[in-house]
Amino acid sequence: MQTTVQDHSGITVLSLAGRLDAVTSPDFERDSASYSRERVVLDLSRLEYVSSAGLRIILALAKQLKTGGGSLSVAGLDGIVKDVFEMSGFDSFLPLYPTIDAALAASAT
Amino acid sequence: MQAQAPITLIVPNDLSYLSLLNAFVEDLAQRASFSPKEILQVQLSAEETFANIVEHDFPDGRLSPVEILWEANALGMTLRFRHKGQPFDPELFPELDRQELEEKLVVQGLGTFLMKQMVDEVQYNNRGYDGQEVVLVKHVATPAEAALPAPPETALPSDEHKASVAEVIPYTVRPLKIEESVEVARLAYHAYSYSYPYEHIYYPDRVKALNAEGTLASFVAVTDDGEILSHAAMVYDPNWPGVAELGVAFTKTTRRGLGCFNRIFEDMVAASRARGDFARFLSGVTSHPYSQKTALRYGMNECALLLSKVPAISFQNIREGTPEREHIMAFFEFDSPRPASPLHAPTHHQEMLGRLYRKLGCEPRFEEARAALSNMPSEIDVSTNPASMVAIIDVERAGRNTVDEIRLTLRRLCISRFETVFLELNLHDPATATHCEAYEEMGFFFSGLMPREDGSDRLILQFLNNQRVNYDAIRVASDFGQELLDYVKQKDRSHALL
Repeated sequence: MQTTVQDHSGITVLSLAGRLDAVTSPDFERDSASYSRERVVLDLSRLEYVSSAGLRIILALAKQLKTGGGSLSVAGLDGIVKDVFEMSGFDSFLPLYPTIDAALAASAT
Repeated sequence: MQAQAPITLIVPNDLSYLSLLNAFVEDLAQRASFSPKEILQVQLSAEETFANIVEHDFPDGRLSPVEILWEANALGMTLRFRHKGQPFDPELFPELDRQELEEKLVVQGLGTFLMKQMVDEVQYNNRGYDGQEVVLVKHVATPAEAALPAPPETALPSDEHKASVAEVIPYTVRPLKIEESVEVARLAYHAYSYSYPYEHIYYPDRVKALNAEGTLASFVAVTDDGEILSHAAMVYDPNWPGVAELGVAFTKTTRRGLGCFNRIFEDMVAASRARGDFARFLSGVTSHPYSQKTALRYGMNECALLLSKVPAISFQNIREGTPEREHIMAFFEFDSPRPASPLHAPTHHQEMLGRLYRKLGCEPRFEEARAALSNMPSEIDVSTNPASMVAIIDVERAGRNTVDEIRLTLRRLCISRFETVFLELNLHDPATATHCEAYEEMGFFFSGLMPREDGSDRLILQFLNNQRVNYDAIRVASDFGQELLDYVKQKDRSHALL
């Protein structure tokens, strides 16, 4: 699993690629631990797989950003990753956008 | 896909071996023709299972092997996780609460939820000294709908039409040819729309594979021109060895009245005897009496009335069809009389069980009830069918806490809105005689008897989750069927309270 970080006019884009599972999620937990006040967009368009271990880290990130005054949105869901988000109810509290551009536009407002 | 010996991976209970498990699943799933998305689904279910075992079943942290068995079969695969971690009660696993997740950003039960969502069936088996087992079953999806024709004309054929085609149409009965599988799926579609409870019949590939594997033995009535008029089959359940279930029977709605079923059943019974099956079984729906009459004609006898066993079936052209859930009259026939073996039946059901056994040509020998309980751990299997919302709790051997286990399991199944729960009690287990009343106090009531080849026959009890049965609508085909129906109705307390 790879995580890359980009800044888009003050909005932090975390792009995940590969598999977010019980083995790789501790890496993402470490990579995302420092965010609290930022507006963060998770770009999951290259994420092939996510399990409950990965969802828990995303949930933890959402909580720490909410507590710190930041925000989290998700872009580019597809395939089984999209299925997992929807069936688990993660679409009920996380804003989902089809593309990174749509997510950035919404976060900028 | 042919059935083959299991392929086994043994890894320590350590999550760092997850990538090895993933590779194992991916390779074998590809060989079994799963799609890329299905492979990810199996991997996800397998990861959640493995993670649960590692994180929850070895609280002392000791290193221990987890054995993972892959079994490919005609329908897809079965993946078994066996280990010797601490015993667990799957009914106590927390359930995913979406409201709590949305409102408090707190999540529990997510792994188990995903594990179940990604496969077709999950079972938890307590294996006594052999530890615990979690079983995942996943079917290969096939584009069956694409292979089926457009819906048929809605107009029902007139009696005149039926009479005219029934006059003379020569046909022969023979085993299904593989290339005719799609015709069988279409026949099911035309007879029952998409409501027939044996879903595999709608998948031509599965019909082919199951016949090739031998778990389905299809017979057809076919004209000289190759038109398939009727289909019926013997189904072999690996969990019920030696028993051929006769069923999966359809006739073209425009070709009724030709006597196809009679001839197919004659051939199937002969084939079953030739195979050396120890018995035959038939599930007769009770919204019409025709399949029950077929069973009686071939020497089978009623052994159980299984209430609310399947969702409503849409019978094309049989006007007695009902939108309510279907009740099943189960029929059984032994090939040869069995020697009497000691049975531990509750005293108050011995008379009825005796009649059921004698109808099947056996003279039962009931032992006196005694309180002795095995010191061995209980062996209980719970299997669920979310499609029909039916659960089966099978008690191979009762232990000291079995009544409480059953009560807890029943409660969880009811909360999960299972419509009907069947409780199968081993009549070779002395506890069956002593525990039965406790189960009946929970709301279970008599259903009947299911013989087994090894003699460990089952007393069947049933529980209806907030359902009231319209007993007046149940059609039976014999005096003994009526006797069994009256007995079951008398034991149904919810009906008695009306």
